[in-house]
Amino acid sequence: MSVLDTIVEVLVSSTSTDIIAYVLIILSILGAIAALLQKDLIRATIIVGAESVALALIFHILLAPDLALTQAVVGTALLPGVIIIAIYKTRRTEED
Amino acid sequence: MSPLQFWAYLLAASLCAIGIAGMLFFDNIIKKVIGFTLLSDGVNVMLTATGYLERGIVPIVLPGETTAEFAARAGLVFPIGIVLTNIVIGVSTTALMLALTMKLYRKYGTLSSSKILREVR
Amino acid sequence: MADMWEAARGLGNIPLIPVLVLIPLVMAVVLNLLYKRDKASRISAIVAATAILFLIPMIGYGYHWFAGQPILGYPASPLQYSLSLEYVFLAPQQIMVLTLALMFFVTVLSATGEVERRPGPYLGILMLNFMATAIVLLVNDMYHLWIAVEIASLAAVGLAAATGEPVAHNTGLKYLFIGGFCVALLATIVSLLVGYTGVSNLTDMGMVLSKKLVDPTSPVMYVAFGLSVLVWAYAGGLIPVHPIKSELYRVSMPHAAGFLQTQSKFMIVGIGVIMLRLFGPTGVNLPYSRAIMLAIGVGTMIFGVTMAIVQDDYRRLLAYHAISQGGYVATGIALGTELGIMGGAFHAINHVVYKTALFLGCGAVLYRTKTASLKEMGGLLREMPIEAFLLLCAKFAISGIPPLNGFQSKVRLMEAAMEAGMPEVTIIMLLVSVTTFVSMFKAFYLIFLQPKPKSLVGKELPKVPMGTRVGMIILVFLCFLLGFFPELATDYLAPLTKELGRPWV
Repeated sequence: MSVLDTIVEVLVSSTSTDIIAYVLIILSILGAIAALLQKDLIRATIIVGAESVALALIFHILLAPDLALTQAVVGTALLPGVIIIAIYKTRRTEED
Repeated sequence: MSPLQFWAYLLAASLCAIGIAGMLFFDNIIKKVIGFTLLSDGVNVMLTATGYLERGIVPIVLPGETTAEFAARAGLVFPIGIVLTNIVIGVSTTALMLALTMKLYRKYGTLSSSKILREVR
Repeated sequence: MADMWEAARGLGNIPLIPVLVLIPLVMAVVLNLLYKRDKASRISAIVAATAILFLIPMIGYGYHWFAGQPILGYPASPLQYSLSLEYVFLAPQQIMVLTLALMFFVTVLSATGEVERRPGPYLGILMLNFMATAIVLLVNDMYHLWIAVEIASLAAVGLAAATGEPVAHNTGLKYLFIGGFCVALLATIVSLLVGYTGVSNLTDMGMVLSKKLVDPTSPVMYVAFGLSVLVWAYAGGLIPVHPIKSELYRVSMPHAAGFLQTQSKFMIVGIGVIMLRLFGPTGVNLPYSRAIMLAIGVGTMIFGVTMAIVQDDYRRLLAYHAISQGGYVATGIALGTELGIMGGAFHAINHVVYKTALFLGCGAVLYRTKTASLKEMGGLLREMPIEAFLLLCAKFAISGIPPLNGFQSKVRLMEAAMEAGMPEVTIIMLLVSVTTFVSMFKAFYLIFLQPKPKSLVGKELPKVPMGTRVGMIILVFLCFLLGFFPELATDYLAPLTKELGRPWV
């Protein structure tokens, strides 16, 4: 069971902020896959917005707090805002 | 390479792969735009992870710190500059793509890329 | 050994160099504010283009660094790192930026004549295109290079989609997707190279790589080279990414297509020179690096002209010829020998001159007949004799007929291929030249000499705008000038070739 051993060893030797980073990384990947599989486009945009928050926290743990601020503002308010305006003017659900 | 940097590179690679797959395999134009956003995010994480130093400090000089000890322990600053520009450029490109999409929707009435991005003679 | 870019640091910090980039940026904002006033925006755009043209000979040679850092030397090392973001302005940059500014001036003249409603924002986007291309030619660090390629891809879409037709929006959206992908690749290349070598300035990176301070056989170098070949192909319109570029030239207004192809050629030269500095014999010397670039160049020549000869849409014909001549430039730069780089850069300068003349002529013909299909044109010789003569000179230039400028650069390219020991490439260049001649004169016959079709008989056609006519006269005069006196350009390009040219192995 060397995979479990390495996982335990990594978790034990890392600080608590690193463990938050690992959880956020896994959530980001799952969120990215989920955002593309949605049929309702507004839901997909909201998932992208939530994932931008996770990415902002990851940027902070990777020693870049100014990126965390920029990504939090842009990825949560500006980018989903622009996409939602476009969805509002076109159509909300994906066609078959 | 510390484990956190390794997993950050893996996150970057996964986001890039998912973004490119989104741009290629999905029919709806908004899904392609979301794929482009994910690709851009992946590239940003890759750039930031390049500047990470294990048990390092944030590259902002605090008052009372000398240059030598700052240079020895701080993370790289240059990737932060690139990523800031990249985030803003990503928003601008997405806005331009969506403006063109809205114009095309007004003419064709559909958002499916196989109908509106086909070859025009 | 101090190379040309390091020696530029001895020449001093010139504050006038960023003014070349600041004038178009400020004018783009001003023209957007003036969007309701047509006459004011036209006049201010022409004034800005003339100001840039007169500024370039006044800038002395040197460099300009941002962030005001002094040159550092690490204590235990004999190497001098610069660690700065800088622009370098020496003789080769001067002649290339001067040609670019001249094409920009001619395009602004033509655009003020042909765009009737709201020319302000359109001229602003043209300014942004000029700014992006000028940065690629002047740059000496990876950050500014990436910014410039990004702005160029966005502004090119703005220029093409300004026609307002749905096919232009369609092609613009496709170009944005491909462009976004390739620019993300460029950001990855920046991350790989900066992370691996530790410096961002291109001179420092070349020094680190050539002195083997990092392991040169690492896979990071191979991946970075492969991705940069794709970015070079996208920015310049080479295979395998050429269809999107040719479609972009086709859907835009002809004078805009003329400026877009100028942008592509100078990007081939700029990015190609940077790839030679990093991955070629003066850098890390990756095996087969120049061979891969050469394959792309030769393939583009052949693909472009074979697609061009079967077209009956005049704009598509010119677009595919632009792609094919881009292959000549890429072949010259990829050969990497002294004569090769000279041939490639000189051919880029010549090509933008005669190709812009051809596109302006296409714009004039389109303005009069309102159709681009060659089957529906004919008999225009009696109505536009001046434009017909100027187009004839430009078509002789593109086919490489002496004494025009196309001949001078093609002769240098063919000599370079023979000297590198590859007569096959010379034969391919000759065949492509002959096919270009055939295709261009087929178009000339169909537009001017064949009997007039019924749809055009008896119609009163609008006059060609004065700006287009003046632009074409300037460009054809330059064709003759560079044809008779090629030293005007080659003397300026010589330092670049002596710096980077190494024999082909």
